[in-house]
Amino acid sequence: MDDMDEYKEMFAVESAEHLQSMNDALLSLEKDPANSETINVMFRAAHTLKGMSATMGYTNIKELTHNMENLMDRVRKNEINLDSSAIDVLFECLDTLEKMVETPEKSSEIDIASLIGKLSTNDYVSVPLKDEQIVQTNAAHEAISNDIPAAGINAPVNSGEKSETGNIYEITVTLHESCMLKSARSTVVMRNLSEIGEIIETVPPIKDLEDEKFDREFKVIISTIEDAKKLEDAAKKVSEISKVEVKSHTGSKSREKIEEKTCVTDGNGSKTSIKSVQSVRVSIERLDSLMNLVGELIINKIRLMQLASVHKLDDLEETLASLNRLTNDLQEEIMASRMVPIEQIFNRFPRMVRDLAKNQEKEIDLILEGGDIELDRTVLDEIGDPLVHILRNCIDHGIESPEVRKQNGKNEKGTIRLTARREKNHVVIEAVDDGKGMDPQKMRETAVKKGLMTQEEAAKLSDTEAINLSFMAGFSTAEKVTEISGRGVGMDVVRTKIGGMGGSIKLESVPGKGTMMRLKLPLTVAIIHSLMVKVGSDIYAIPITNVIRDLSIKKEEIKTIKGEEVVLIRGDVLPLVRLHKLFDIKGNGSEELLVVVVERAGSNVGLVVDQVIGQQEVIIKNLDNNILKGVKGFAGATILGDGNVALILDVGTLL
Amino acid sequence: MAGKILLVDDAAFMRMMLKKIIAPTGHELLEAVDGSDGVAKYKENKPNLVFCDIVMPNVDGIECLKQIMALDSNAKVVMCSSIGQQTVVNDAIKIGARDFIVKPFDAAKVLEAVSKNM
Repeated sequence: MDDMDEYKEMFAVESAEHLQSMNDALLSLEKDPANSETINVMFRAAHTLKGMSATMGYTNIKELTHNMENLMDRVRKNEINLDSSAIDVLFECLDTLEKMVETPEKSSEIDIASLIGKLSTNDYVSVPLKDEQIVQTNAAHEAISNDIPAAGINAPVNSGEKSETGNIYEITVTLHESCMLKSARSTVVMRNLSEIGEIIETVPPIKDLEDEKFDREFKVIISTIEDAKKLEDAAKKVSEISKVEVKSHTGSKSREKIEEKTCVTDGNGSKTSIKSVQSVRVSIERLDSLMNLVGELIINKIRLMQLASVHKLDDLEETLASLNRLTNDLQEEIMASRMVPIEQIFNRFPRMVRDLAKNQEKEIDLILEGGDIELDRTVLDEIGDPLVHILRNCIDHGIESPEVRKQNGKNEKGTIRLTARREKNHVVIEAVDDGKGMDPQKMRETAVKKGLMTQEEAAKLSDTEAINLSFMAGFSTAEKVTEISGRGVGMDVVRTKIGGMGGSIKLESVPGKGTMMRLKLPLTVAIIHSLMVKVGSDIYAIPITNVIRDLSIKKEEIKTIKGEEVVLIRGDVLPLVRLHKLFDIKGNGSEELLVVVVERAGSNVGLVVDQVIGQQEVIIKNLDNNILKGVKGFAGATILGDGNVALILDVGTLL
Repeated sequence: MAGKILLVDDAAFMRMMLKKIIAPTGHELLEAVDGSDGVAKYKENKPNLVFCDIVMPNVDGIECLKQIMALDSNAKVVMCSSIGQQTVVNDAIKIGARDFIVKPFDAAKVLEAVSKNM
């Protein structure tokens, strides 16, 4: 990775964090528009993002954040109120920023003129101020946040303030190309500057300067009573500087920075370091390849263990036992390093639910629980879209309008509860709404209307089966295209996706009361707990999340309904699928059949196999890059201890 | 205006190199062979500028810098470092070093440090 890539990656990660904090701030400002602390958070985030994007040369991002910062500055100074129209515009800006940050190289192609127009308009309800009041509010402001009022080209300069607190300047320092110890050089510059003013902020932050995480350029925001010339001289006095640019700065000193400063110096005035969790950013690709290597290591370990036991090498077995422990620990550590809290995707839902609810004139409370539950990064990436779809269904089809809810004696405000919890080796995510629920009869009618089945077939479905029709391809798509649902993703796609990871999905609904969707997910997709079965001479792995139980039945117990083989288990009809027929492999034709009961779309299916070998952890190898790509029914392959390859069944698409 | 410059380095070769580079400026050049010598020579001569090596026997560059700063808080000390000594240099600057140069010496940069700090 060259330097530029590293900066870009850093930019992507950090700007996403700032966008998230702006989103959160805006959501809470909607409820409490006068909260000065939240206003400041918003201001600072816009300001930081502006600095970052300017450093990277993303002019459009810089321009937009600059205007957002200005708007927030006007709010901070009580010049305008943050009314709902302003909040809407800011939300729009965040959406645009999100797009731009995703592919910053293309950010210049996005038109931001209209947003900037909306941001800089004077239509917002302004708080009329008399001269006297200006002084008062400013004084109050200072007293509260210890802010230094911005002074510069764009701000009216009050000479009284100026002499007291000084001006704020932004100094851009470019180091000479041949400068070798860039960090130390920046320290010299900062030291010189700090002798004639107070350094408020640096871009990148001081820590990054110290770690030499910057190119040749860095910025210093400084408050000083000296003039620009003096600042320039001070910076230029340092060797190996190729350019110094001093500009008036329109932002203000932020409270956060002051707090940081105060914790640097302890009571004795000596420097103490701020305690922080030491961490490094590692790309997910690197973790993937680590995981893969550990996988290979484990496979080789298993091979060695088999050899040792075959050849009865006791002393080798002892050594291998400790190797076994080590590799297990190693595997666990690597797995743990891939885990991220689920709130990373939960975080974006309040905003989405707010927008959709507002759009449809519904009142909805979204309750998020278990955001701290951790999931493998890969799983997390995969479940984002399905969860969006599920929540959207809750809003579009679940929660009724306030009037209807009132008529039905419900609270006008609907509730969606999204919960995550850990259950043994799984994570369970539940989305429960208190909406109108699903009517099995209506489901049957829709299925017939859409030509998915005949009237007779529909009539035979149990209520549970009828509700599960929503997972059928072609059932839920495009029924109602809302703003977000224009993608035509149906619940069938959701199911396929969850199934593809070795997870399962369950739907329960009570008409008039609400709907519950339960996702059961593996902690990680890289290693899955599987039931190993043998069909013919081949071994297959069935993800344990799909397996309900295994049983053996006699050949004569099999009945045939409409040409399909079924077996009655305690009165329930269990359809049977003979895997050797499906895979066109010769079966062993014995009188006793082994059946693995798997769950699929809320109903059970029995897979007939020749032999159940047992449970085992298997490492998934993707089928993405080879001839099996696109073949349905397999989630991947794994390498067994003896070096053979076993395919991992994807129950969702297999049948 | 010509002033005094003290070169503190245990390696005679490095002192010579610096001397050759700085001599044309007309400043008076003094030499010290290690940290403790450097402190003594500073006390004795009150030079306008000090070039101080970091890695030296007995009293090293950082300790030398500290002692010089303690003698004279306005002392101008330029650290002579190598690539990879970033942290040490950062510490030195926090202690009070005015500037630093990186070995192998680039004549232009040494002269820049002289002109900017004298």
